Amino acid sequence: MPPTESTLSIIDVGHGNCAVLVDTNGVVVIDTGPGTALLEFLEQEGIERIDVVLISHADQDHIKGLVALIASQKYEVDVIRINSDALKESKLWDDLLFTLNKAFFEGAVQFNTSLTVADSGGFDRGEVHIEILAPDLYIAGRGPGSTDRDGRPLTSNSISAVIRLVKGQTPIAVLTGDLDEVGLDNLISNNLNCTAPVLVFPHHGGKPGSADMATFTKKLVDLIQPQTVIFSLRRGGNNNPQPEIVRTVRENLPDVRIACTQLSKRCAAALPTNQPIHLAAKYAQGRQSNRCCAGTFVINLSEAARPLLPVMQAHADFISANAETALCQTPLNAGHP
Amino acid sequence: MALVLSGTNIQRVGVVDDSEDTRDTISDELQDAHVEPRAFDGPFGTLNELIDTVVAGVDAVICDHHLTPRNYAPCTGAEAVANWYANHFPAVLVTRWEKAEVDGIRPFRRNIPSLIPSDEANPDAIVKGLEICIEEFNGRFIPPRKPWANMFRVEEVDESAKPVQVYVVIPGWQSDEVIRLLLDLFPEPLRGHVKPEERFFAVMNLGAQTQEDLYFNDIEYRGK
Repeated sequence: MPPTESTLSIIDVGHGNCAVLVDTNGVVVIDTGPGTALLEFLEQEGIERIDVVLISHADQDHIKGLVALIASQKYEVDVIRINSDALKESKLWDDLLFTLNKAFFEGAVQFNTSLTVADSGGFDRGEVHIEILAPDLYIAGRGPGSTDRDGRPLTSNSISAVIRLVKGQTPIAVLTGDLDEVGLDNLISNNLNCTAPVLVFPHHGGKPGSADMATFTKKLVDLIQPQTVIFSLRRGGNNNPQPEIVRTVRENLPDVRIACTQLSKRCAAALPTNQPIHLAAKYAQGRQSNRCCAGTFVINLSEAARPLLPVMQAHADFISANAETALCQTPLNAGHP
Repeated sequence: MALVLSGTNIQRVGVVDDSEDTRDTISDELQDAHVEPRAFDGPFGTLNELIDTVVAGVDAVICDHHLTPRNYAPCTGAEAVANWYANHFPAVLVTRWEKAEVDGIRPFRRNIPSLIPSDEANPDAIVKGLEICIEEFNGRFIPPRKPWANMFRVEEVDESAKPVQVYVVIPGWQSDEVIRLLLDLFPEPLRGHVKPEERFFAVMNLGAQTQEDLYFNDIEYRGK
C-alpha cells in the first residue's frame, strides 16, 4: 500500500544522503545514498512510482543508489535531474550516465543534466514547494574545474544543489548535499531566503574541504537558522561528525536539537545491546545492527504542528543511556576525546 | 526434541558429510540445538539419491561442501543444498572452503541462503541458518540475501586462464571492488559479449557483505 500521509523522511543510509518527500500528488527523492537503503525504504513504504529524483552532485554516496534504482527496473521513475560534472572521472559516474542516457533513449525517464536556481518550483508534486537555492546559473555554467568570481576553484561540492522545501508559507527543511565554503559563499551572495527549521548538514558533518570548520558552520547556521540539525552519517568510517562542527552549531544555536542518523563512535565507544525503541517506524540502515542514533528522521507534513520522529525526549533518553560522550549533550566547556 | 522455526516444525535434522568424525561433531551440535540428529553414512550413487534419501528421512539438513572424497557422493554440497532449497527443504551448507571454492559455490549461491564456516557451526548459528532458509521460502530475505536486478560492468577478461576468468564491477554494490567470476557463469549465448566495458544485468544480492556471498542470476546482456 502506498503511503497516505505526506512526510519528509531523511533516511538513514549510512555514509551518504537520501531524502524522500511523499507529497499529495507524488514522490520526490533527493539524493539516493549508497547501497540498497533507498530500495529497501521504497519497498517497505509500498512506493513503486517516483515522480522526481534530484541529485545534489556526483559523489558516489549521493548517486550510487540511483544506479541501483534505475537498474532494478522495479520502480517507475519519471524525472531525473543532476548537474553535469566534467571533473568527475569515476567509473560509477560513467556507469550512472550510461544507465540514464540509455533509459532516456528508451523513453523510460526524462533525464537532464541541469539542476539550478532556475528550476525552483518545477518539481513540485503537491503542497510542498521545492526551491533550488543553489547552484546559481553562473556557478553551474562555470562548472567544476573552473573558478568562481573570486577566482576560487569550483569542485563538485561547490556546485552541490541546495534544496529548500516550503509548505504554504512555512519552510520545512534545507538539504545541502556536500556544499563547501565556495558554494556557501555564493549562496549567501544571492540574498535568498534560506531559513528553515530543519537543516541537513553538508558533508555528513565532516570537514568542509579546506575551510575552517567553525567559520563555515557559523556562516551556515546564521543563514539557515535551524532548530534541528541532522547529520546523515555512518558509524565508524569517516569518524563524523567533527566535534568542532557540533560545538559551533551548539554555541550559535543554544536550543538546537542535533540528530545523527547513526551513533557516532565519537559519542559511544560501544553499541547498545538492546534493540532501540525510540526510532521511527521506517527503514533505517543501522537498525538491525543497533547502529542507529536518530535513525531515519521523519517530518509529518500532514499535521499542522509537523511533528518530528523520533520524538525528541525519547531520542534524548536514548542518547543519555547509550552515548557516554555524546557530542550533542556534553557540556560545551568540557573537553572531548 | 523439536524446534518451530517461522512456523515450520523441525524435529530431525540430517548430517551429510564424508567424514565420520565431522558427522559426529555436527550431531553433537544439533543435540545442543534441541533437535534430533541423523547422520547419513552414505555412500550415495547419484545426486538424486542423496536428495531423495535425505528428504525422506529428516525435516532439514546440514551439509558439508566436499562430498566427493571417499566416494561419499558424486556432487558438491553446494549443488546438493541448492537442490534441497529449490524443493523448499531447509538446508544449511557448512564448509571451511567458502573462499577457496568460491567459483564452485557461486553458481549455486542464490539457492544457498545459509553458508556457515566450519569453525562457526555452533547450535545458535545452525538454528539461525535454518531459520534464514525457511524465511526465504516465505519470501522474506535478510538484507544481505535480498535479490535485486542490477547492472554490472566487465573490467577485464583473462583469456589465458583456464577456465577463462572475468573481472567485473557492480556499481550499485561496492563500485571500487573488482569481483572475479568464471566465464562459465554467463549463459553460453552471451559469452561472446563478455569483453571489457560491456555491461550486463543480473539479479544480485546487493546487500551482500563480501564478494564471496554475491550471487549472479538471470544474466542479460545490455551493451557498451
